[in-house]
Amino acid sequence: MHINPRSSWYPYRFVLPVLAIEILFVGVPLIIGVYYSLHKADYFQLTEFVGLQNYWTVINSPVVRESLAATAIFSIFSLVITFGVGLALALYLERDTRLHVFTRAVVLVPYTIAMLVGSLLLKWIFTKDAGIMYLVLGPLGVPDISVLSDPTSAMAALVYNAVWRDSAFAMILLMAGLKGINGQLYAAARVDGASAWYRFRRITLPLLRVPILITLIRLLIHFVNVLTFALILTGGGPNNATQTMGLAMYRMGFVDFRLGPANALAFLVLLFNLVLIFILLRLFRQKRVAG
Amino acid sequence: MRKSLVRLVSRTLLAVLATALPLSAFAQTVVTMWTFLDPAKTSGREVALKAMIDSFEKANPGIKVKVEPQVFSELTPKFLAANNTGAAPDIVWVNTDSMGALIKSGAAADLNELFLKSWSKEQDADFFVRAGWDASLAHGKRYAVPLFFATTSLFYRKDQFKEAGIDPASIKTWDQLVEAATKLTKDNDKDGRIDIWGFGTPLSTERVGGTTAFTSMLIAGGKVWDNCKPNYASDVGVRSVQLHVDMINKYHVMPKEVIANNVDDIVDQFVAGRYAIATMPFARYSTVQTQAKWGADNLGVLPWPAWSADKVGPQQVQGWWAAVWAKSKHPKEAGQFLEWMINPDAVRAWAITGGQVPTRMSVWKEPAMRAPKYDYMKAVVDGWAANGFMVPTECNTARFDADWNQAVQRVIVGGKTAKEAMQEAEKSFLSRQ
Repeated sequence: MHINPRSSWYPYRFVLPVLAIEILFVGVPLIIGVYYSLHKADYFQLTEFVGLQNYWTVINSPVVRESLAATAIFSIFSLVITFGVGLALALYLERDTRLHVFTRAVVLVPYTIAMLVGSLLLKWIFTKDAGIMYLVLGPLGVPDISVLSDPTSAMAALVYNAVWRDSAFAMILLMAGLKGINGQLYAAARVDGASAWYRFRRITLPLLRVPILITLIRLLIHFVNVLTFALILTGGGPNNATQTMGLAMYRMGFVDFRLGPANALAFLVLLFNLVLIFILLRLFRQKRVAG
Repeated sequence: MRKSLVRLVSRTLLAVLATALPLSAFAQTVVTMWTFLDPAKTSGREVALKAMIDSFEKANPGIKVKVEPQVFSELTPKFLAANNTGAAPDIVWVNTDSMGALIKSGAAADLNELFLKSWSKEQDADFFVRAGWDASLAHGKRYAVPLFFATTSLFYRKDQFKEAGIDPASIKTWDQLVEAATKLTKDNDKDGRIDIWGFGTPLSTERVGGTTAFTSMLIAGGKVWDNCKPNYASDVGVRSVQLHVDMINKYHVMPKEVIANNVDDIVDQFVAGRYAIATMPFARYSTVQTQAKWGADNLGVLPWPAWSADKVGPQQVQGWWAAVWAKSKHPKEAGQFLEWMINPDAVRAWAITGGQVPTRMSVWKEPAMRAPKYDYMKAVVDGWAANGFMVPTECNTARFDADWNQAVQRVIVGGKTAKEAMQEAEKSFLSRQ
């Protein structure tokens, strides 16, 4: 069907195929999930309509409250540190010398390893008595502690897993943004006597606003929803200290076979994600207006 | 004229062959089966399965068995989801944890109708582990048959026991086990770090797989579940939690690290020589023997202790069963292969090639099973015969042992008492019913 390029429908012709795929693979499962969340759905069998009972069960569940706390701690720490490390790596490795290109490749290796494999590797490293962490750090005076059997150090290990893996991803996104900044701006600023910190504050950060926003949103959604780190590295323990929402949902749905509450929790997590993204967008919009 | 006739005949023959060959393929019934085994691989059970499939297909030329290997922990969720979409396999394997889900979902066919109703009483009685044989029985229907049973066992190092002067037969109670574990815990090089721990058991809440000592401890103390109502915070439940805590904090026979260890971690550490006694799946016996650097002959199996010396410790019945999909398009053929997988020849293959305890008494009594290399199975068979039990399949028993492990974690790092922790475990179990 030929559409006139000047017609207002013309742009939609390019967007429709992707939109159709999004509706099919995202929208339809979402609607089915909400439908399941309103029913008793044990062992994948829909039985009775229960309305918002599953949502009430989930909100009142002490396990879900623990998971919310664990997810909040994990996400905030992982986001701040991953973004910081990613930005530092992007700034430092932006140049295209042979050494910088090689170092970028090395930094990317954790990101290219499958998440499951990476978490398993770290579990072996952190194991007391048998792991290599003590072999390397012991001579430096670090005691041989059981990292994974203490709630605080287990959470630290989880955050470390996230930073180790995803700071490369942050580096890529931010480096793409840095490449888009006109080098002549820096040259002009240098001629005017601007210091490196001033150039960073007044040129780099403002022009990197959109890539920073995209990076923060992507990382935040990832950390709030990720399952693999907690499943493999800590098993959600000890004492549910590292049981994130992703792990709680997985257990509720695919181990306990309680799909009703699992879908209710999944929908609540979706709403939570949307609220976080909205807050981030508002923060950045306010900063732009103030600037 | 002659040339055109030859051309016509040859083209006709070609057309007939072209349709006949695929048609002959269509004439074969393909029975799909989901299992965690891969007949293309070389472990004992996989070799046994391949041989069974080959012999079945030879005896039944019109039936082809197509195995689609799956991750064992995903077998049942995937099957139940596929049941809804109509894309489930004809045969599926289920384990102890998932038996209740299979029965409640209505996704399995009644095997009495498919082949079991023609069996004699002797054939039925040959399956001597009755708890396992009847595990899939509900409302007069039988939904699955056992392929091989499994259990959680106490593996121990014979060399370490000999060195410490401990007679394995002297360990009849949990107190005696702790006493032995204390003697077995060693710092060989005197660097202040324990090199061999006396006892190990997985206390993580992930990938525990029914391999804790808890089940035997609690079952020994009385009725643990009553119509799917848990009775964990009883005296024996509290005692069980406290014993685990004391083994770490008071007797120092277990490292605190075990609260982060799953069953694979404990197996790896035991193989590496870091535990003198450890709980793990009995199915890992041949793997441990093969991998242990401390010598295959030094591996032994202890009977489960009890709380008092006059009783026998309970031995759990676990394992893998096979079921036919209720909506299978080939139920008769699927039933035929299922029956093939549990006939005496197959049971013998599971035992001798696969290293599994035979499910049939007739096979267990055969001279071949009296060879010394099968002595390790005796402890398990005797345990089942004396005090075998299965967790109730009518309840949702998902992660029941993870709840108990969680109770230990609540006490060690959460500051709860054993009773409070077990009361929380009861609530967790009830929330899934």
